[in-house]
Amino acid sequence: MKLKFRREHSRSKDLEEKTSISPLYIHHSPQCLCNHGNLFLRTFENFLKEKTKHGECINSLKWKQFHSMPANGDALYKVINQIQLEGPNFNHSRQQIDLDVQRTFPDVDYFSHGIGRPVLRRVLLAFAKYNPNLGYVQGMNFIVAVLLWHTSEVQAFWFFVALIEQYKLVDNFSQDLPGLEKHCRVIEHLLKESMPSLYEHLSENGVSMHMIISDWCFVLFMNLIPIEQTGWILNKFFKYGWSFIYKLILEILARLKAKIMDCRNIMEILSAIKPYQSTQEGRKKFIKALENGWERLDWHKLARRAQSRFIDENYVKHI
Amino acid sequence: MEVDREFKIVTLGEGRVGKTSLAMRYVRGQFNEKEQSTTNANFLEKNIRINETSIKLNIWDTAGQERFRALAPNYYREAKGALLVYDITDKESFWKVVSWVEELKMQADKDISFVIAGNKCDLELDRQIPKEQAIAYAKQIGAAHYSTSAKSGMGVNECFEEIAKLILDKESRSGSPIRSSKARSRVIVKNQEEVVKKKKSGGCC
Repeated sequence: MKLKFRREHSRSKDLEEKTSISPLYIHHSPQCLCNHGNLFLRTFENFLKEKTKHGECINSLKWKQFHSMPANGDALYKVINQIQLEGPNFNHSRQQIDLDVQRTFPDVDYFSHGIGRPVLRRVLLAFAKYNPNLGYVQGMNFIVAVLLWHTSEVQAFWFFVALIEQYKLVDNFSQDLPGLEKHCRVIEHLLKESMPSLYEHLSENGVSMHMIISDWCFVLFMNLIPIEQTGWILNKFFKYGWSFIYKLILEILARLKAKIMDCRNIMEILSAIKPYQSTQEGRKKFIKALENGWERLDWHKLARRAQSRFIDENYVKHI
Repeated sequence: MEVDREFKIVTLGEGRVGKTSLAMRYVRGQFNEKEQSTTNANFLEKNIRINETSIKLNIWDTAGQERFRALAPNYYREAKGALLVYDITDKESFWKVVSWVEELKMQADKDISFVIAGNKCDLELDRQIPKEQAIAYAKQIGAAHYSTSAKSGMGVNECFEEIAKLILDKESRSGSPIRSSKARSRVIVKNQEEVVKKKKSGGCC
């Protein structure tokens, strides 16, 4: 596929001229209100609108510093969309995508009633064509949806490709989940170092790292964060990579430590760390449970606190 | 509140057959048409009473997609019961149940009890799996079969309580300690709500 893709890479200009382009919403405007966040940005926004064609999200501009899309990204994306692919892998992906787009942020209007859903479907399908060996895996839907929330369709696609390839999300999603194994080992080590009593309590009660961190790693917390706050977490992830996610996990566990230590069995522990939440309401509850005393916490603050934690970066790099 | 027994139950089945919806309907009495896809597992609890025994069911509701199958052993380890869910409008999902049964027989606790749930019975018109076929299969592996609908609530309480009952039965036969004198367990479905209410009002021990 990669070879095929490269071939198309060089021919993309011809193709673009020859084939009529289906009405893709290449430049639908981002939904997020990241630019409305503070006074400085509000006044800055007009300037941004002039500078950038579509009034791009301030956060997505930061991500671009780390990953700009290919020069002919627009054309390439259109070509990928036009590829006709058949085969058991792809058909399976398509089937699963069709099911999952309906249940990706169903409580967010943009995805339940807006244009978000068909666009999300298209980006996921395009990725399944771009990398048919990996195909579509559940969890991708939340990450792509969040990217779409902040940026245009084409840009979201290329950000996702960067996350998969350069940020090694591919290891999380490929067969036997080797990435997850690694993350579990890292967290286990870091937890042992920084909170030995908590680690002991967890292992005594038979709580494995998988149970705690699998979904957090699969979706980078994206289905747990109120969608309007997702930009802050992605900012840090684009900048610091996995070491930020490890710190965030440690920060969350540190904040829940007292509660966890009071739990007497695995079920109580898991309910404390991973209460059921699939609505915006539930997501708010999760962050509320992390507050210490009078503290008012949001994911921005949590991300900052997490990033200031010390972890053994050498260990993380070399594992 | 005092609990006599505690059982771990795991829900297994292909993605989107309605595992989470069934569990949520059972535990919270809610049905959410817009249930999000599960990417790891949900951990839910429910207290019930079967005859004289009060039981806490710990329900481990797993993600269904094939790629996550590698994680499943973490979840069904030490489970006493498994609710295997298929979607009656999706043939493939039934074969997935068959393959789960094979895996659990090899890997899981050897006393594990199975209950099979044919979910989405509100979509009877689109049925692809003949009920008789599913029931025959269940019989063959010594499991109970229930037609369920998380949407309407049909068969939901019954299938979960059947698992508890099967586990109790197995334990009483193998002589494991059960506090209630005779564990001829008949599920008291009708009275269960009252019992729960009483407990909530929290008077007696």
